Parts: sequence; C-alpha cells; structure tokens
Amino acid sequence: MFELENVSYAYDENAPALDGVSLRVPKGSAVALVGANGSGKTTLLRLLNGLVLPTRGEYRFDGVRVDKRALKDAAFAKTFHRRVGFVFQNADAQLFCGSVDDEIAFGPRQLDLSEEECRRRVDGSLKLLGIEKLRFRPPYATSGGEKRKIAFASVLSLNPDALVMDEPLAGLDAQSQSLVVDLLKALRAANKTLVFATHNERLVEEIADVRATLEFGKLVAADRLR
Amino acid sequence: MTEPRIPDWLLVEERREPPKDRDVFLRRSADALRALLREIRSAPERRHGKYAFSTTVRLAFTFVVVLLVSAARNFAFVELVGVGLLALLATYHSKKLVRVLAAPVQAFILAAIILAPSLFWGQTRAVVVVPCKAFITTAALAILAYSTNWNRFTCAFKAFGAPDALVFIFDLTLKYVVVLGEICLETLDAVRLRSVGRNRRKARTLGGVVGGVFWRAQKMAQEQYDAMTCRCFAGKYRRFRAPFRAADLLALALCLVLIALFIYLEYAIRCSN
Repeated sequence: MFELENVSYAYDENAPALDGVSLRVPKGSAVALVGANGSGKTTLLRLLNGLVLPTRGEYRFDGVRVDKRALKDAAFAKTFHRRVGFVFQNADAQLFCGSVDDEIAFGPRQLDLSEEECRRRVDGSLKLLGIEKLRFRPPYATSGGEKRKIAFASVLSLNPDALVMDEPLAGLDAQSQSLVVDLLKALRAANKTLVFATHNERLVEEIADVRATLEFGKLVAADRLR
Repeated sequence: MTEPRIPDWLLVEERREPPKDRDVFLRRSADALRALLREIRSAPERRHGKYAFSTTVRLAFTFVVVLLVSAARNFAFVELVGVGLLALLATYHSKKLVRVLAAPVQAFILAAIILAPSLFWGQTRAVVVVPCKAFITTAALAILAYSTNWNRFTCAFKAFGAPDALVFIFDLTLKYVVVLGEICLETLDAVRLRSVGRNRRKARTLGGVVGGVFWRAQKMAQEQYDAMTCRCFAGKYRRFRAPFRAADLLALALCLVLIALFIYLEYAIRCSN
C-alpha cells in the first residue's frame, strides 16, 4: 500500500529529518515506528499523509507516485486523504468544530452521504471509542485523553483504508489505553493498514507485524514480529 | 477487555469519487503560514559575526537612516545613502538578496504607481524622489530584520529605556507568533486532511480554526503567567544587556557623518534657494 524508496526529507538544508528511508507497508499489515525523540518518526508519518513531500527518492501509494503534481489533482488528493486517516500527536490541533458530534460528522458530510448514513457513522464511531456522553460537548472543553479519542473517532468516521497514528496512546489512562489497543487489534483483523509511531513496547508487541527502527532519520532496522 | 465489534460500514472498502469543491484558499493559507514560520524559525541562526554591530547600534543606525532619508529635501543625500545601501546589498548572497529586496521593490513599484498621475501636472521630481525614498527606507528595515536575531531586539529596546511591560510583551509576542502559528498550521493541515469532499460550511470551519487558536492562546497565556509567578516574577523584567564593541563605535561614527552630511546638504539647498 505504502512504498518508500530511498526517501529523504529536510526541513532546511542543515537539518535532514529523513535520510534514504526505504520501506514497504503491504495492505492489511501493521508497522510500528520506534526510535528516540527527533529520530524522524513524525516526519515519516507526515510524509505518508502527503503533508510533506520527499526532497529525494520516491513515495508511492497503491502504485501511484505521491508528489506535488499528484496532490494538485483535487480528485486524487481528496481520495488519498480519505483513504489515509491521520491521528496527530497533538489531538488539540486536530479538533476545530463546535461540538464533538460536528467534529465526527465533518468528514462524512463532505462525502455527500445521506444524513442517516452520517448519523450511523457518528454513532458507531462514538460507541467504538466509548465517548457517547461527550457527543454535544465542545471538543476544547474536554480532557486531553478525551480529545485523543475524539480525534480517533473523527478519523474513523471516514472509513479510511489505512490509519497513520502519531503516539496513539499518549495522554490516555490505563483503561483507555486498553480500549485503543483492542480497537487497533480489531481494525487490523478487519484488514485495515496501520502505521504508528510509539514509545510503548506493549503496543508494538500486541499490534505490529513489523518494528521499524529510526535513528537520526535513517531506517536502521525493520524486524518482522509475526 | 474484549475486542470491540467493528460496525459494518467500517468493514466495507469504499471506492467513491469525491465530490468536487474549491479549497485553494485553504491550501494557500497553509502554505503562506508555513513559509512565514520557516522564516521566523531561521532567524536565530542568523549570525552576527565576531566584528558585527550590536543590535542596539543596528536599531539606532536604521532609525537615523530612515529619519534622515525621509526628511531629506536634497536628493544628493538620498542618492548617497542609496549608493551605500546598494554597496552593502552587493555583499549579500543571491538567495538572501532576493528575500531582502522583495519588500523594497514592492514599495518602490507601489509608490511609483500612486505618484504616476502627478506626471500629468509636470511633477517629474516627485515620481523619482518618493519611490527612491520608499525603496531606501524599506530596504534599511528589511536589512535590519533579515540580519538580526529578533530575540535580541528586546535587549535593544531595553537599552533605549523602553518600559519593562513593553519589552515583556514584545518578548512574549515573538514567542507566541511561532507557537500559535504552529498550532494554527497543524489545525489547517487537519482540516485539509479531512477535507475529502465538498465542504458547504467553509466559513464555519475557518471560524473553528481561528476560535480554537484564540482559546489556546488564552489558555497558554494564563499558564505562562502562572509559571512565571511560581518562578518569583513580580513585574520587573530584566534582560541581558549586550556589551559595547569596537565595531559599534565605527557605526556611531558613520551615523554622525551621515547627520553632518544631511545638515550640510540641507544648508546647501537653502543657500541655493
């Protein structure tokens, strides 16, 4: 599904964030990105979402090269963004609607789905994350952990083929962590592709098929776990 | 805990054509903000060099140049300063030169367009003088902005006796322009990633972005104040004062020469009248 070939990216000339990374993520697999702070995990996830583009090398999504020209094509960009959901590290920045209900319905409403279908997706996403009681609350008035669950729900309601997550368990209490781990297991079983950056070993062991280790922007190991 | 039951709609692989929509504004806003933040972030890397002038002297020198060029009636003075400025710009790397000259060239063109109708009344001098003055003053400010670490401006303000509150506000503004800019950019990226079809409520969405940033700004300001109180902040804001160097004396001497030249040329124009 995702193919990176010798990809490099630098925020400016003196600071390479990714250096010659080659990685294949087949459909339905789960890849965990691990590494120290500043090793390039977040940049790699942003690249997979097309938020930054390689300064060298090639990135292909389902065989199609993702570059400036491809993303300028509105139809491709919208399909690509619908198929690849991104859960940001900072959930606060991901929420911009007046209520949790609107937040989760934002994506489905843009797809010209019927209101009944939108409701079905909102209800389903709220239930999956166990946040039904937050439905009419403004997202900014919720706690850090709740915001993360709302961010998850708002991405899931788009029914993406792949979920890209930056520190999916950060800021969650033990019970919520278990809920998210179980949800990710179920999504993997449902043939969704998962790519996530984490420092949590339990998440790597329970979910990932491959543990990709980054060091100073280089992919130094890609160990198969199952 | 048992695995949750995934709803049917989440198990279906969707292959739908996204509805068409125009979202160029969103993309351009994000790109412009990204470029601005990159520019601000690169500011601390600007090196002054061992023999460079201190920020206080740079600020004072720029202020004097802008004031004298604006007030000059003798075009020879404007020409002299212009030549000096161009000589300085000639030492710049091409990439930096393009960045520094962008605003002055725009100011020159704008002033020329505004004054163009005066040609019909035979006012040829104004069409030359005013755009040149606009170019030189904007270039002086651009050189100051592009060759100085913005954080050092606060030291310079302090040296000019600016009140603590002003220095404090300026310091915080510099910090939060970057912090809030990054939050705003991240939120715009989130909107872009979830803009997968036709957004019928674009204004409302952008309102949500701005509202969210405003709310976070207010929250961060409160937290910052609380943190400062915990670290014994009691209204007095002290900053490091940069030492006076030999190069600064040279700049001050140049400043005095400029003032003397200005007075001489203004006197000369008065005598000729």
